[in-house]
Amino acid sequence: MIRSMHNINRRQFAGALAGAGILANTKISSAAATDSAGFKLGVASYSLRKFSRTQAIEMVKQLKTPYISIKEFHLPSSASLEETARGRKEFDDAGLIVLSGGVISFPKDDEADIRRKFEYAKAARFPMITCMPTAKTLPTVEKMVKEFDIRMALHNHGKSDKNFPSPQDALKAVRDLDPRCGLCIDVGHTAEIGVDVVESIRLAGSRLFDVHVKDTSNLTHEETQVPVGEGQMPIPAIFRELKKLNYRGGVMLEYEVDENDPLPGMAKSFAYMRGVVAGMQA
Amino acid sequence: MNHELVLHSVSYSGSWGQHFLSPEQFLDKAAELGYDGVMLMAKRPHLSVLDWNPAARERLRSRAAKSRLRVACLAGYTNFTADLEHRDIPTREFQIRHVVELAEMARDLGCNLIRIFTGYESTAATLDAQTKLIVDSLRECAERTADLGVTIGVQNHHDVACDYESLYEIIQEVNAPNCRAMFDAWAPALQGVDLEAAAAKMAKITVYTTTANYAMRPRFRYHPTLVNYEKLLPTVQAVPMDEGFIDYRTFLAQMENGGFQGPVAYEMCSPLRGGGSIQNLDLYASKFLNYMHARRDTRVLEAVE
Repeated sequence: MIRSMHNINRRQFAGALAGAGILANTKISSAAATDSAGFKLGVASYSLRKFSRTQAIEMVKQLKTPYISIKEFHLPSSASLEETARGRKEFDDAGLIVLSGGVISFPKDDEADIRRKFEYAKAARFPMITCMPTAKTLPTVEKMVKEFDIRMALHNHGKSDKNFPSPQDALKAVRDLDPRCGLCIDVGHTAEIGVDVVESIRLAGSRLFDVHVKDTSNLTHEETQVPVGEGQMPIPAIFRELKKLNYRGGVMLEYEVDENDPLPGMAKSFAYMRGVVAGMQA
Repeated sequence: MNHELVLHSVSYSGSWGQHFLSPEQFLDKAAELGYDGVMLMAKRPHLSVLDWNPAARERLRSRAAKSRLRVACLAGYTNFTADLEHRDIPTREFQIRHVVELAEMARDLGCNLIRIFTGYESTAATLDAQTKLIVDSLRECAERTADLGVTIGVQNHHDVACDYESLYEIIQEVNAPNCRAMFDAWAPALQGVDLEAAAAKMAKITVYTTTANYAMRPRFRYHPTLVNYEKLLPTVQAVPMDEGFIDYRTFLAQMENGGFQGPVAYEMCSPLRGGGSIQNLDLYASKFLNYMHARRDTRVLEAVE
């Protein structure tokens, strides 16, 4: 039975964590974070969209990783810049390492709108944003990358993405841009359109800045998500390719199912990913 | 390396506040979770030799076979240095007889390995004398179980020879082909020794390893008169396989490099973070499988390339 953890009080929340085998514990295990052999295994906070910022921070800590990519749910872009800065500090105070913010959309060809989102990113001290521009807005996004000195990783969004459905589409778009412009390969959205994920990683090379990891029982149906390791995604081959690239970016779990009680599935996903790392030759 | 993955029934024995499953229910659970085999706790409330007659053993064996599970190991409990204060009592003989009965039960279950321990250090004899007593006991156990086709596996748990070099020497001294190590990472990791070196040395004589992972919990005692804390020996708490301080990446890689090919078991044999509910036990047990399956998949991929 899936138990809703939405809108529950702190005591109930701690109990729910304990029920998932993940009792509240304020210290992040450095062992789990560092035995990932150089891989930064982290959480895309979209996975925790049903939870408040405080709850999401606690849940990421329970997964024994310091790495997070912050989605707007946990740091609203509608807030004032001061509020955004204060919100960001809560992640720092909890010992988390913010690798990026996003995914942020840039659908409007409006420099003021794009600038406002970069100002949000600056207030949030995101070293990088994962984003979904259009072909038309991309030049302005690049301009802001230079102005704000914030890296951007263009996120491919598969079937529903009219602009950059595949990493190859995104790569073509960023290849000649400022070196601070790169890709965030979403493995689920890549596989759903029949594109080879491992080959996409290889082709991206040094332009690969971020990876959203997930698994699906049917590769061409992103909505069939399951805990990582229980589906058809070639996870060991993905990690192998990342290792060959000497990839140093985040490998961020984006767990989109079980939205009211995602921790058990996320914990299983982390166990699988850490197992992959454990199986790699030193 | 495609190790047989085994679940230890102590995990569901009701100990440390954990949920209790009968041996039959435990077999169903291990199969449902996807394990290849089981390790059965050879004492009450699970598989005491006093309670399980040949017919009951046969029923259990059939049930395991039906679930495509192998009984990979019987977990025996010995302490060959017990009660040295009263030498008129043949405690060592009792225990050797018990080990033989365990071996008979193992044979009846289609199992060829029993786990035993050395001894807790006693103040009633010198350490040298205790070590000799353990070597003699292990040798006699090995001799008496050889005809049953059973290996005795010595787990590095009790005080005597809990350091890997002593355990290595003891097994060499016993010098019996059916007396091998069941060397775990847990003790050397807690002892702070070089896990890589330990695994490299022990791999060749190890037939089976049992895993679990832990988080360190510091302890302090407050002294009001000093307005300060005294640092105490830390305790450890069980956490999932991928979340603790024991470096299984290194340990398992070194064991394999040294030739170890045996089963890898998982146990939950102390209080768990998150408690002992059936849901939490199942989550931990599943996470172990996820970790090991991922590790295996990756090793296979690397071997192909």
